[in-house]
This record gives sequence, structure tokens and C-alpha cells, in this order.
Amino acid sequence: MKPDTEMNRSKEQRDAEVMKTMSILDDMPGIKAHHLFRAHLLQRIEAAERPRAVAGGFNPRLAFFGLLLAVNVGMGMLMFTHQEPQTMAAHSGDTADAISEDYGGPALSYYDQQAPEPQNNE
Amino acid sequence: MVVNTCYRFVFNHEDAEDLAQEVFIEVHRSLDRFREESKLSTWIYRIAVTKSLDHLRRLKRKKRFSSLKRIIGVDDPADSIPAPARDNPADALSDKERVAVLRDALDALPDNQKTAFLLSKQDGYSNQEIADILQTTVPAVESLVHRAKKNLQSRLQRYYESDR
Repeated sequence: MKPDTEMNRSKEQRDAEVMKTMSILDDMPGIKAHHLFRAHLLQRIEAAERPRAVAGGFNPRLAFFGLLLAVNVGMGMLMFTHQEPQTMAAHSGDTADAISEDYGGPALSYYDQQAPEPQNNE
Repeated sequence: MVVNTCYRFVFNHEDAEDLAQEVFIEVHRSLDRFREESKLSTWIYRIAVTKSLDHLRRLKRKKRFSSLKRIIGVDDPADSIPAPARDNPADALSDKERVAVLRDALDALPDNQKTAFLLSKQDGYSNQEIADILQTTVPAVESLVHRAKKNLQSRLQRYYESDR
């Protein structure tokens, strides 16, 4: 009989402990948010918004097309600057040809023919 | 209410406020995705529960470093729960221990049981609201709460039996 009573008592004690532990949740006091909770929250929302706003203005597709356009324009400029001396040379060659043509043209051929021939009679 | 809901899960005032802020940031970010299938408050509490459970999972993962934390002096979240004022230091110590035991027992519960049980313990949540938050039915919530209570009781009984 005695061990039974002891066992019952320890069981009662255990159950009381369990009850006490479970009651912590019932007795848990409600908490109030810090008075700066709202201010901190707005700050965090603003901070979270900022990178999104920056990212919102950035369009990777547009940036890529911009880059392609810049490369194309650059290539075009490079080709233009490399071709320009050649065209100058070509122009100077044309002028020289024109001059030689002028002097070798039929208008001056008369003077060539009228030039006195060297006398070899003596 | 959101802060208190988080507090029920994490047992720490600062963590609860941080979580509540994350909840409102998430609400602000995804308000356009709210489909009005449920009440706005239910949607917000669902986010709060998800965030709190995520936080607990992170804590669980970090638990293996708890001994190291204790060495470097970082407080255990359970320490911040205001224990009822006691004149007797032994009683205060036993309250702290009780909170830690309860937290461990709650941590061992499945997420849906834990959520249903903790929300049922908080004023302001009807079973219907809990069912909406958990996206289940009222009888399912009642069953979850009942099973959670049973599981908790048996875990605590085992603890106090082995303690003796």
C-alpha cells in the first residue's frame, strides 16, 4: 500500500509540474511594440524601396542595345578615320593626272611640233 | 497583434518586433499579389506565422552552436521571457527552467500542431480564423489543438519523470 501511495504522490507532483508549465502560455503577458516601431518600419521600407527604384530605372535590354549602338558607332568612326588618308591620296593622284593630262593634251601638242629642230647641215 | 503572434512563437520581445517588421515589409512588397481570397488580416497573420516558423527553424539549425553562444555570452531567447516576479530566487530559477522546458517541448511539435496550439492560446483568434490561417477546416484545427496538447503533456510528463 505504501509504495502505491508514494507513486500516486509523485504522479500528482509530476502532473502539477506539467500543469504549471503548460499554464505559462495562458499567463503569458501581451507585449506592446516599441514606440519607435513604426518609424523603424518606415525606415526599413524606404531602405528596401531605394535599391528597387534604382533597379527600376535600369533596363538591361536597353543598356545592351545602347552598348551595341556605341560599338557600331565606334567601329564606323574607326573605319572612317582609316579611309580618309586613302581618299586624300586618291584625290592628289587625280589632280596629278589632271595636270599631266593638261600639259600632254592636244592644246599643247602644237608647241611640241613647232619647236625648232636642231640644224645638222654644218 | 502581429507582434504578439510572433512573440508566442519566438518567446523573445526583440525577435518578435523584428519579425513583425519583416511581416509588414513583406505585406508592403506583395500587397499587389493579395488575391482577396481571404481577409487581409488573415493573410497578414499567415505571413506572420510563416516568418515565425522560419525563424524557429533557423534557431534550430543554430542550436548546435548554442554551447559556443553561451561561452561568448549571447543570451538564449528563453532568457528574455519575463518570469513572474518571485521573492524566492529558487522559484524564479524554476520558472526560467520551466520556460526552457516548454520551449523544447513546443519545438518538438510538428509545425501545424504548434501553430494551431499557439494561436488557440492567444486571445483574439477564433477556430475559424486559425483554420483560415492554416488553410484548413475548423474540425481539423480542433484536432490539431487536441493532439498538440496531448503531445505536449506527454513530453512534459516524460521530462518531469526523468527529472526525479
